[in-house]
Amino acid sequence: MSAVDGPEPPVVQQIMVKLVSSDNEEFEVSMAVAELSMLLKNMLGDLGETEDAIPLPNVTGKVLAKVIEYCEHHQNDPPLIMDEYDDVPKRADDIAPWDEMFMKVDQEMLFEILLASNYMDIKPLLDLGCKTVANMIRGKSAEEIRKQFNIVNDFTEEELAQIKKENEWAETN
Amino acid sequence: MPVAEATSADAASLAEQFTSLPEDVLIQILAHLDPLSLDKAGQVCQHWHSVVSNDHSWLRGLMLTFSRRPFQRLQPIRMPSTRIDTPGWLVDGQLPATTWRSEYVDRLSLHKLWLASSATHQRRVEFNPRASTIDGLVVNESLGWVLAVSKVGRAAVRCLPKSGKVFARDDNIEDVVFAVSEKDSTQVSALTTRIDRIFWGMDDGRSVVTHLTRGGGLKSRVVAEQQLLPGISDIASPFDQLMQEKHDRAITTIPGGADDLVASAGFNGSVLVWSASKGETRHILHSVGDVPLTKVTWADGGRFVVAVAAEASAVFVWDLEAPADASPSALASAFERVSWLSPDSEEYVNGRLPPTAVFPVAGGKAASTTRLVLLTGDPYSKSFIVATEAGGVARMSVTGEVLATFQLGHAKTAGEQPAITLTAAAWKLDMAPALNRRPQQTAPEDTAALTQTPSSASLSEAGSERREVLHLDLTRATQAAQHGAATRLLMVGDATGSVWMFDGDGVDTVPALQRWPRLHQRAVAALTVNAAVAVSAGRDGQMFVLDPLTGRVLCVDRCRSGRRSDSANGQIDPWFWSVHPALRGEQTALEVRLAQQLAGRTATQWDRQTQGLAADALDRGRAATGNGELEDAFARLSTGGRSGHFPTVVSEVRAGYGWIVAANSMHIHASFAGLPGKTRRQWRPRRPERGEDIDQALEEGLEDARAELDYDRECRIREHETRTHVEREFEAPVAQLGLTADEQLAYALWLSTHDSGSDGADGSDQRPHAGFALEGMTEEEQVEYALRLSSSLA
Repeated sequence: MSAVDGPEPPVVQQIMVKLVSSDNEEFEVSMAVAELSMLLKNMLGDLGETEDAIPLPNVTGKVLAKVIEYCEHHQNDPPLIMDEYDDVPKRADDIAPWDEMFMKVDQEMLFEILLASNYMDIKPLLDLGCKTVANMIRGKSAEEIRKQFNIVNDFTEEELAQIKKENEWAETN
Repeated sequence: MPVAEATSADAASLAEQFTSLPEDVLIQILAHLDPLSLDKAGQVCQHWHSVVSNDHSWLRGLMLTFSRRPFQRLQPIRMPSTRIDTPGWLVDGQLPATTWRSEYVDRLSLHKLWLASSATHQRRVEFNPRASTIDGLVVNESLGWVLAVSKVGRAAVRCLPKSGKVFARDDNIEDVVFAVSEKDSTQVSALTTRIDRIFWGMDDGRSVVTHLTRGGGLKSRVVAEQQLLPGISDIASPFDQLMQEKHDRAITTIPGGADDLVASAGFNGSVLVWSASKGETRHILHSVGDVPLTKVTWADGGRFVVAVAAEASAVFVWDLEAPADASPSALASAFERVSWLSPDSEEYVNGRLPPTAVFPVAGGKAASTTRLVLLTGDPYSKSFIVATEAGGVARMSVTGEVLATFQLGHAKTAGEQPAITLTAAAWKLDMAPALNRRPQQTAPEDTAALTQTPSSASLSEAGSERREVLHLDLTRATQAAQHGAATRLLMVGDATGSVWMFDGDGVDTVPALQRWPRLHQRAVAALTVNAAVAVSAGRDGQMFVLDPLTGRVLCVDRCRSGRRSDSANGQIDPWFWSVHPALRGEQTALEVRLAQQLAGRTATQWDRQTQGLAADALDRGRAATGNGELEDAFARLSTGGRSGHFPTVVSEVRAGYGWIVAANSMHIHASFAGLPGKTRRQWRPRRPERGEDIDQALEEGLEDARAELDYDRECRIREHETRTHVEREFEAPVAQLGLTADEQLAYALWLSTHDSGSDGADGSDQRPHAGFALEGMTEEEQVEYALRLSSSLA
């Protein structure tokens, strides 16, 4: 308990935490890295200091390795600046070069990272993933988006016509 | 073959993936998209469509783009028309602005339009409507005309800012309307403009209302210019007699709530409340003694009248629904707060309504002559906003409590006084406060969007809530503030050119929502704010279009009329010498500068206080040059300006979502947001854009010649006005007192400073200055005399 909420970060850094992925791969990370995940932070807060490995049943080892890579690189980042009124981070369209390289993964991995960061509640990583996906969507037509993400068009003809009609204004603006 | 199978299997799982993306993650992804891409994403599949259909997705996108939730919701918007032949300036919007989606789209579109207009400078017009110095603007954006209202000219002239066209006077159509008949030489001392009325306060205490009939005909689309004009009828007040007794000078007239009540405050310290349609006096409200009241406003939907005696820093409040037998003694404690007042005045007899509360202005220096920059009552609560020149900005209740103080902070620079001198303020009440909390509700009447302050319709709508006590309003306001949805916006600007924006609903100490330190190089002259843009105009003629949410400067515009700064850089304006022969003598540089500064002030700034101050300073400084008081007076007058530069002060600025109309002494400057229109003759500004070099030289020459002509006219009108001021303010005292030689000099100097020796602008004022030492002199002789007198004694 005291280790988690304690005021001395250097002490906290030295404590290691064990994480177990869904396919039983075990990872050891420092407390500071683990605490980027709000999920882990809360769990560790509840458990106190523990030698037991923390299971992450929704995350595979391959993805968890990637997530940990991100967290280790960003463990010393200042906290995200949040908007005063809502939980929306300030807009930053530019993605840092390291992050951009980090996100050069296939779509399956991208999807898994999104899910994992959402599950583990790692705001900066989720935000990065969202931006990356948004960049892939931006400026594309509906058909191109479907192709990009292999999404099946499940609209009927009538529905599609209806939606197109609703969106006519957008073409002119 | 197995490879192909594997990929198709992958594809299937991928399809699963992005279709089954958790909704909250998808929302976060889509928040990064612009509206067009968002719509495209909504056409991808059912799941995505359902997310995009959720208005919250659009709000998130809006907030990510503008970094915060809007302070005020946009009214159902009409995008600026790119066509020049539409009668109004805007065309109907395609969506009602009640969804976040439309808000997002509209805000982005407006952004784009303003940024585009900044790059091209195509859509701007500047012209002189020939109404003499412009003190007020009435903008009808649906029909596309502007009324330029002038105190000096005592007239309102209708013109079309889109084409720079001024309506010609016509027998059938009244597009020029006078406050009083041309034979009547009474001057206008106060002016208030509304969307449908003009209120004139006359020097002799009369009030005149001009109604703009058919002004609300928003749908009428007419082609011919003559037909564009709704007729204006000139209704002279039928209660001249009464008013003449009560006001020796009307200052402000502001219409009130649902009962079309109007209040006018006079220099004799009384407020008259009267019905605008019937012209009957309803209440006579008296302050104490003869304290001149300089501003008056309404609070709580027309129940309270709040007036401020600026020179004394006291606020008087009258409750129109108070029992008639309220005894003056109940006020005793209130009076203790303003030391120089005493309740044993005789003004409380004769059934006149005494003030229900008297208290000092918050933030004002005690017993100082701090000038009032803004006084605005709040129609929804028993409170009002007051801003003083000394930098005190507060929201006060009608009982004198300070509900909120707005923190200006200091734009620090080396060697500068920390004191702030406010020069401009603007206040914008959201027409639909409920909209912020209940977005599904339909917006109120469209006409409400046209008025800067609440119309009677919206007031009566709020009438049911009106009786709620103040704390209820504040609770609501606090809730709104927590959600980041300000419903009232306050803007102030100071002498250093810095501009602040505040949440007008804040309580206690309110930090600024936005700050633009040192936006202008000179003092801020006029401000206006609405849900979409904030416009700040400086004394240097620069106008900035600002985005209230991000604080970004969307567009920089410039009023170009008036003197060019480079021609008078550090030098005394040549014009100055030509019209001030008396000053060719050996006056001190300081006096010259002071006089010059006085002459440079436009009519709107020419208020009683400054004039008195200048006269005092001249008076006191006549013997000792370098006198501190004279320096002070000069510093006050120049308000951060450089000497030798003739100011192109913007006196009034109005802005819609996509347009600005600014009055700049004699000119109207109109800018329209938008992509550059097709080059058409009609669209060309009066002064053509710079083209080739040869043309440019020619144009500049013409421009200068035109400016010279305008200038001449302006000078004559100003001189005319000044003379009437001089007569009123100084003649009688001078005639009564036996003057010493020194005093005569001061007076002569004063007089000559403002006397060009030419005839009055309209010829109606041919009297020689009767109070002057020698009767029966011509004006030339007077000037000659002043010159001789001053040089012999200097």
